[in-house]
This record gives sequence, structure tokens and C-alpha cells, in this order.
Amino acid sequence: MSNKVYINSVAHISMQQPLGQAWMTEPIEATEPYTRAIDPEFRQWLNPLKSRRWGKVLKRALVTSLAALKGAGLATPQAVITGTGLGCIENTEKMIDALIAEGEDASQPTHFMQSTHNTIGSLIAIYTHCHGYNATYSHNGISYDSALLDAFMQIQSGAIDNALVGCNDELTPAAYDLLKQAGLAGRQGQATMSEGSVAMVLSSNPAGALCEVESVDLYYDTPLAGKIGAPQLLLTGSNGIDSQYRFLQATGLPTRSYKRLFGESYAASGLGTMAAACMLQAGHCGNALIVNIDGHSASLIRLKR
Amino acid sequence: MKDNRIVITGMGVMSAIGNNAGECLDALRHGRTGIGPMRYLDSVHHEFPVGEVKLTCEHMATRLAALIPATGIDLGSYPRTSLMGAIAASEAMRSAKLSTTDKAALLSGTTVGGMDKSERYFADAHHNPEHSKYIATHSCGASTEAIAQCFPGQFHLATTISTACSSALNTIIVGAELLKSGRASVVVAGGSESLTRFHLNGFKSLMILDHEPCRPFDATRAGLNLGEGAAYLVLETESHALARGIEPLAVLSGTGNRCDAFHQTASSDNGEGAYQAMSRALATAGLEPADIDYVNAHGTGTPNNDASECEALKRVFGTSVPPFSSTKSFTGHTTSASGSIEAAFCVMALRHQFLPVNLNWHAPMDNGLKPVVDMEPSREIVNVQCNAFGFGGNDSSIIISKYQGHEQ
Repeated sequence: MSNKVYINSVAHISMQQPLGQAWMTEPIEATEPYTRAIDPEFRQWLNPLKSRRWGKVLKRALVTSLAALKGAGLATPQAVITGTGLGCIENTEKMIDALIAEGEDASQPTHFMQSTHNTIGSLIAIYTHCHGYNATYSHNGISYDSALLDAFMQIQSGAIDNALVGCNDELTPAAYDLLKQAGLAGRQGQATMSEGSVAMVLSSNPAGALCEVESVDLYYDTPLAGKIGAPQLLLTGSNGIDSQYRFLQATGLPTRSYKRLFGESYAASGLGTMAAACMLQAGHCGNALIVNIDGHSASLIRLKR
Repeated sequence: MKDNRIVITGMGVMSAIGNNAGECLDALRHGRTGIGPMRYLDSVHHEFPVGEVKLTCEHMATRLAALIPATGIDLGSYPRTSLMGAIAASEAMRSAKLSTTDKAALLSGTTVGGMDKSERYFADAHHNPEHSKYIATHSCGASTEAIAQCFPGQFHLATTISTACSSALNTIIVGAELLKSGRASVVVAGGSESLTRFHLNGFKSLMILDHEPCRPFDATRAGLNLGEGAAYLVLETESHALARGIEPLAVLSGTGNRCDAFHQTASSDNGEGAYQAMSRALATAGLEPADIDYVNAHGTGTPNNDASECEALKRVFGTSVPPFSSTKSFTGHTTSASGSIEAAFCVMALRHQFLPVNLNWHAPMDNGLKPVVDMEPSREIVNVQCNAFGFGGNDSSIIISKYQGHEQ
């Protein structure tokens, strides 16, 4: 069995205006090397009592998921597959800070429970009463791409009809400081360091879809020259000062980086795929290729109208 | 199509009961636990028995250097998770007679990643450039790539699953999908997790650690003992293995991944997620509950898990629950690595026709079941079910079957 796979809805919270497509017509330009996301009114989506103990990344994950499900007209997905590069940093930091400050007498059960990477996927399942397939990928900049591949394979084979796919990464001030100390942030010409949450419903149903997902391929230590083809829209994960995308110049195709719009984070490729899907829906082009190269790993995501 | 059967052709293991598969097998057959007082982790909490791998990081680095083709890697700075992972992956690939012409996908499960180093150096990473390097090795992805980099030219895909205690089992499930879809011809799937102060203290704050050696499914069970380790299985299609001249060790017959969707750390009373995962594995295997000859339970030894899992076993198997045991009284709870370590134990049980016993068991829990206490099986072991249930209700189950030759 080989079903086609479609993106039926998308939702995001990022440094751009949340939960909409304002980024397409009125993009917010970064002015600082560190840009936090713009949060929506969480109270409009989440019960304040229930959610008061949840850190930002959990709230964002839930809101984008609920928005994507609503947009696809789906109450409960058949699978919840999420990616996160660094997980719930805020909770991890609180635990580590407590251990440093109080030694090993510190007791932070809530922070510990919410620090594991699959906390996000689990919370979404609890909230949407979803007993279906549930997986979390955590592999730096290809976390979203891995989650997408899993969903794509399962819908293509008919194991599931639909899936909620998301990616969530946060950048706390302390984490930004560490990146800066390590010389990985704030360099001249580098895209701003940011954070984001993105959710999308994928399914084998084309009705109302933004676009079709033609292919998803993940690579390790594999040169991509010769695999690009001639897409009408070519989006890359270039941060402005890196060199791994230079080989694309040989194709003669114009390229744009989704990190110019959404900044640098491990969720960037998910935000970039969302943007490409929206642009296809708006009729800006007939097909798109997202090229994401993160160290030894890479992914090629092809979308078409 | 029979040719599309997914088979296991190699395995590598490191755990509290052995530094390789052979040592682990010997310990299982002699009922020798690896749980004891803390010797390697730098923590004040020596009141908790743990299942440590009996090697310092320095010794692991020395062993690994002798095993791998890559040179020029600073193994002395490698986090413990990556050291164990690379050693176990090396054993798995060697046992499958894999060469770099058999390019593989690497799927690895972990939650702590490089935390054993980053937690030590986090406090002064801001001021000390020598220690800020551990920030780069901290993430789950970095942990997996550190393993991949030991084997240059071997992998065409590498990614990491992080679903707490079901991580490694889930890599096996996703690995099978990669093979069936033709995206990989060989998959190295499993996981690695080292002990850290971070999660030792985390589990302590949840009050689910036992001050005594754990007693899964026992009336007096009081919690889990944390363990550490790594294990990887080599997976491929049967036709691919036979074409390489490799006799499979076992067949991966069925898989099930479901979500309890109940609570972040506790399991539901009726074991819904576990029940659904086990049922799904049986369905994909085309097997009936009566076909299962042994279940390697998740069996952490916590009051909650063991009660919930008993309910799930009863719901799946009715009044005929097959022999089952938890091997966590041998290894401790190896968290993210537990699924692949215990899957490896299941392959050993099939190959050598013995039942891993449930150590430290004396009396049944309320509404509980009696696990295996006698190694000798009463019938041939053909189909084995292996469970791994993680925080967040990430419940997974696989079925591994005896390889009985190529079916026409």
C-alpha cells in the first residue's frame, strides 16, 4: 500500500506573530542576537488552573497542537509524534540549579517529571485522550524531520490515517548565555537565536489540504549534491554564516533561509516546512524543497501543491 | 510475503550483569544479580542499591579505542552513555558480521544523553572554557552522533528516540518500519543510558526508589533500583540476511506502540496503554495470546507499575498468563536502554531455551500473578513478548520468535 500524504493544517508560535500567517505579509525583523517567541493568550486555549504548573514550552506545544487539530477538524489524532532538540530546558535548568544550590537533598518532582523529552508528547496525548502511537524524537536540528518521517512512513503504508506532528524547542536566557559562551551565538551576520513550536496534522485525506508531502529523506554523512532537482521554491536552514549550503549555488536556484524568518533553533526546520506549506497553499509556487543540514545529519523534504 | 520478515542478526549488550552479551547470558543462567552498592556514580545517595556497569569511564574508553576503526576521537571526553553505546553497538555489528559496505541506519534511544558530564560541569561552564565543551556533548542527538562517529562510513541515517523507559524498544519498532518501507536494508537499533545524579535525584523525589534490592511483582515490593547500560540489535529483512550468508538469531514478529494517556509518571489502574500495546503486538504478529511462551515484563518493582502491568497481563491473557518475569532484579531499571537490553535477553532465552527468573520474589501481590522462579521451561519457547513502559504513558511491546529456517 502506498497512500499519498498531505498536510491538512498548521499552527505555530515563534518570533513571528503567533497562530497565523502574518509572517508572510508583515514579517518581524530580528534586531537582537536573542529573540524570544511571541506567545498568544494562553487563557483562550488552556484552562488556567490546569496549566498553571506548565512551563512555556508545554503550553506552546499544547496550544499549537489544539490549533492544528481544530484547523483539520480532528478531535483526536491516531498518532502523536513530536520532535524536540533540547526538551524542556526550563525544567531541566530548575533541577540542575536546585542540585547545585541545595546539593542532593533537593526535591523537585514536578520539574523532574516535566524535564523528560517526551513530556510534551505525553501531555498532548492526555489532553486529547489519544491512546494511539506516540513517539518523541530528540536529535538536534533534525528532530522535526525525524518525527515527520515516522508519520510519513506510517500514513504511506496505511498503518494510520492521520497523525499530529509537532516540534517544540525553547531558549531560556541561561541557555542562550551558554551558547554565547561557547561561541555559538551572537556572531556577526548570524541569524538571531530563537525558539518555537509548530504543529501540523498530516493525513491521507487531500480535502482542504495545504499541500502534499511528496517525500521525506533523512541522511547521515551523505553529500546532497545531485539530489536537489529543480524545485520552484528552495528553502534552507542556513544561519547566514555557515558554509554547508554553498554547494546549492551550483544549481543556480534562488534559495531563501527559513532562519531569517524564524531564527535559529532546533525547531526551525518544522517552522520552515510550515512556511513552505503555507506558501504553496497561497499559490506562490507549485512545489518546494526544504534542505536542512545540521552537522553530520541532513534532511530533504519535498512538498507539492 | 515471507521474504519480508524482519530478523535479528546481531546483538551487543552492556549492563550490570556483564560487559558483553556472553557475560550477561552467563549471569542470567546462574541467577547472578548485578545490583549492589554504588561504586561508580559520584553521588551522596549510597543508600540506594544500583545496577552499575562494572567499568569506569576510563576503562570503557580504553576498551572502545581497541574496538573501533575510527582514530583521533577524544574518547576520554566522551560521556558515559556514548561510551557504553559505542561498545554495545560494536559488539552488535561484529556479531552480525556487518561491514561498511552494508550501510545501516542507526536508531538510538536515550534520555540523559551526555548529562553525566554536563551535570558535573554545568556550574562553572560559564567561566571555564574547558568545561563548556560538555555543553556540546549534552544533547540526545549529540549522544547518538558520538556513537555513530566511532564507525565512519557505516551509517547513512542516524536519529534518536526519547520516550523515557520505552526509548530503546521504540527504536526497534521504528527500525522495522524503515526496513519494510525500503528506506534501509540494515538497522542498528537500541539505546544507552548512564546513571546520573540528575535522574537518581529525580527518581528519589518521586519516592519510587527502593532502599533494598528490588522485588518485582512481590507483595513487599517498594520501588525500583536504577541501573545503566546499553544494547543494540541488528535488524534486516530475512532475504537480505540470507543473501549476506548470515543465519538470523530470531524473528521480530510483532510490534505495538500505544499511549496510556493517563498521567505523566503513574500508570493507569487498568493498564490501558500496556494492554493496547501488547494486543497490537500480537495482532501485527498474527499470533494468539496462547502462542506466547514467555513475557519479559517491564516489572520495575514499583507498587504502581507492577499492579498496572498485572492487570494488563490478565486482560491480554485471561486466565492463562504465560510464564513471565522481570529481569530488573538482575540489572536494575536501565531506563531508556531497558527495551533493547531486555529484548537481547529475550533473544538469549529463545536461543538457549531457558526462562530468565524473577529474582527476589517470595509472595504474590494482592490480585497479583506469580512470575517465573524456575529457569527450566515446561514447553519449547517459540514466541517471547517483551514490554517497556515509559513515563508519559509511552507503552511499547514487541514479540520475538525462534528462527526456524527460511519459510518458502
